[in-house]
Amino acid sequence: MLKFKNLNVQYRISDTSNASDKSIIALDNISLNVNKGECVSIIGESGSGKSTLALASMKLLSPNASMSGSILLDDIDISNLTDKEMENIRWNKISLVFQNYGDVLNPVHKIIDQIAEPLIKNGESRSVALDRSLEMIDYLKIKPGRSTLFPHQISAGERQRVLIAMALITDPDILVMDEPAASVDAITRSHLVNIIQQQVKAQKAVLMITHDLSFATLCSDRIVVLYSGNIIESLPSAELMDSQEHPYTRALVRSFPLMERTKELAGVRGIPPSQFLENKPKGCIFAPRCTQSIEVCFQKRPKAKLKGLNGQSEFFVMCHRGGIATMVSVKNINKSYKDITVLRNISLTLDEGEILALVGETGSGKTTLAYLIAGTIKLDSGEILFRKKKVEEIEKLEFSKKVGIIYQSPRDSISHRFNIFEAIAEPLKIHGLFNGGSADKIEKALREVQLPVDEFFMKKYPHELSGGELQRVAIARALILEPDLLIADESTSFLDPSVQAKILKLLLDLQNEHGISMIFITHDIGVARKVSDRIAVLYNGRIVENAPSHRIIENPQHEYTKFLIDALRGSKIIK
Amino acid sequence: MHNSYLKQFKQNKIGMTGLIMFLFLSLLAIFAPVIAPHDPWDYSFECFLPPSIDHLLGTNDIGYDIFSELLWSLRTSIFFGISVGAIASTIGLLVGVSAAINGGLYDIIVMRIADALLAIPTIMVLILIAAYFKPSNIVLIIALSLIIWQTTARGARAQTLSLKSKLHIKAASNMGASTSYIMSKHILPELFPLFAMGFVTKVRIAVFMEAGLSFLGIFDPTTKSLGVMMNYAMRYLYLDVWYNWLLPTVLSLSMIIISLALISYAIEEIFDPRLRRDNIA
Repeated sequence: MLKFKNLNVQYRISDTSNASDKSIIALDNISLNVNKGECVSIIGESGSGKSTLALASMKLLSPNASMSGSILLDDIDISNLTDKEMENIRWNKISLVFQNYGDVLNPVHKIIDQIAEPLIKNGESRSVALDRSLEMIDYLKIKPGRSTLFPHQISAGERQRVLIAMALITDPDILVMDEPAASVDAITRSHLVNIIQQQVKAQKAVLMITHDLSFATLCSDRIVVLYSGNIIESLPSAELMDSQEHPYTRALVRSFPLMERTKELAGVRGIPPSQFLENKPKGCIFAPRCTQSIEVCFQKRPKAKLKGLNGQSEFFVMCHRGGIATMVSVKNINKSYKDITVLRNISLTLDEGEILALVGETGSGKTTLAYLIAGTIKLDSGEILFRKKKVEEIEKLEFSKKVGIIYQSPRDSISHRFNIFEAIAEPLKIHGLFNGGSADKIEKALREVQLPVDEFFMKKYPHELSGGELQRVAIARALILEPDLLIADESTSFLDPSVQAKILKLLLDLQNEHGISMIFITHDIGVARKVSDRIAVLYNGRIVENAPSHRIIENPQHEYTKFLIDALRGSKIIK
Repeated sequence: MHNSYLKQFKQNKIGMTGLIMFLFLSLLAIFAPVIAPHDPWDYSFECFLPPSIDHLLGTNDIGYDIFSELLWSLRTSIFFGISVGAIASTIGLLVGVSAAINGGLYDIIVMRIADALLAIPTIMVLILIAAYFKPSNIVLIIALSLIIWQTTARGARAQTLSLKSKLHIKAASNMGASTSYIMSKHILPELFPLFAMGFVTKVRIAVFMEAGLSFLGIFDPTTKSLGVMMNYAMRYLYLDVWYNWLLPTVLSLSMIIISLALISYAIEEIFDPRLRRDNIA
């Protein structure tokens, strides 16, 4: 088995501006076990240290790297071994599938020879090695007749398989694979999954480095998320897509073009942190990009919170808030207007940084539910918690700063007496925050919603703008106080498809960049699936279905949801 | 749209005529002490002098200079009118808006008072007050203001209620705006047309009321007033002095009333698009 213990790797790079050297942290205190008969996937953005980890496991780090901590291969600590001693271990006990760069194979040898090479090096006779090599070529489904070609004559996908064949030919106990599926097509990829599963069954320890999340879930039992040299979450692969706990893992999943995904893709917000040793943050490494960072996140390193009931030590999340936090939780609420019951026994939650779509026909109680959460109307029974505080107990002025609302019609929601500047400045004025810097702030807000910032435009009145432009102004106004929760109440339903598409995209981008949570109210489940992480379907004042968007669209459970989707597809006409 | 009210008023010929007339009369009233050739209380002149250079409208039965008296009476009328108009429409606005915003028992009580006031004949109340208490000008201004605010109040309440449900006001409230912010930034500006209308109407009522009361002789007899002048002029109708005494007085009063009527007509036309002449439907 493969075991990393408090592994630190730093690269020294010479600073050209002054004589001194600088250090870059590649891996920061990594501890990880890969047991026999187990495949562990390491996922993360590029630059997170995945490949460094792969190279470190074979002691193949470049000369400018310095390493501390230990790496155990079946209880042999290789960190102190000399290169000579390593020679015996490499390709014998452990082998590595290199990342498929163009020059990773020797251009002057035929691929059959290259695959046989590790075996020959281990003392096997040439003829046996070549036979084995042919077997491997067959096993990896490289087309017959390619064996005598040179690396530049075969495709990238085939080169990838040659690399895997090289690693498998010595039948090592430990396999480390660096992006084995990066350059292969989907069909070959599924064949690779098969091969890896066979290796795991044969009681090998497989450490797989990949950025292909679905490949990771297919191959491995456990997934470890690496961010800027730190492990921030370790989770069973079945939980990766729907119940990940670290905000970074969620952002990664959101960026991944999963086949069933209906929502627009969004990258991880912000930019990766500086890896220079001198800039090493005191707090959580992900805090600046996190959607739920609080003060303590910037001050202290988080401790691992073990998952599961019995607290298995292999599954954990590194987060001060214990994983993705719940922003709003609605418990058994009821609301009626006089004799009309609008909401019956509604319960739902909204996570930090999540987009929840409330879908249902008009009059189903969507808007009432959203305004109850925003605290602008009172509920009859039940309770609504906003960050663990009861909404009705939070001071109104303070709470209104945290919740921005975009209404259906910007023509009605912006006073005709205000020009654009005044309209966007209104929330600042209400909260007494209007000062010398506000003009810049408003300019920035206008720029964010892609509107002109010249004086002429700012002095325009609402009736001089088109619906789409005005909705952008409304969005700028809703975001000027930097709220934590944004409620969009049918905000695009009256816009034409082209403008609607642009506004939706803008909303999603802003939501992602600001890292805020959003409640998106719409009667159109077709729109909801494009923007939301989760959809809650309301029918007659009850939530009849509440699940991740792609699950609802792919496999609706409730009759009403099926009906909604069919009606939208036009396959069901009400007679 | 909203910011072109003034422009629209300027383009409205009827309104501008009324405004110019009223401004002219107001200027005469304001500068009465300067313009008036004589002291209006000086009765040392000869009685019933016909109009001349010295006495533009001649003198009356006890030797007052009628022209000077007329200017000072205008002063009283316009001061009385504007004061009542300002006080009554402000009361109306405050009561109406606060009733709409607070609602509940306060709303019910205040609006029932307004209804009751609507049923009371104003002139009778004023006659009673004037006859019994012989009050000063100021007291009468306040008394009249307290009786005629209800029309503005009802209008203001209705409009505030409808404004309250407007989305941009709800939006401001959801942004955390206080009631006073919403009042000053959103509701009061929208109520300006109503206020302007109420003000002009009430000025007109007050001017007429003051003239009427003093004509009946139940007004402070020491102040110069168009009504008092008319009353005395009527007594000497047989002496053939009506053209220099009664006629100018009546014309002045009519001019004030007409000018105010023209202004209110124009305001109504601007704020209520259904009344526009070019609006055929």
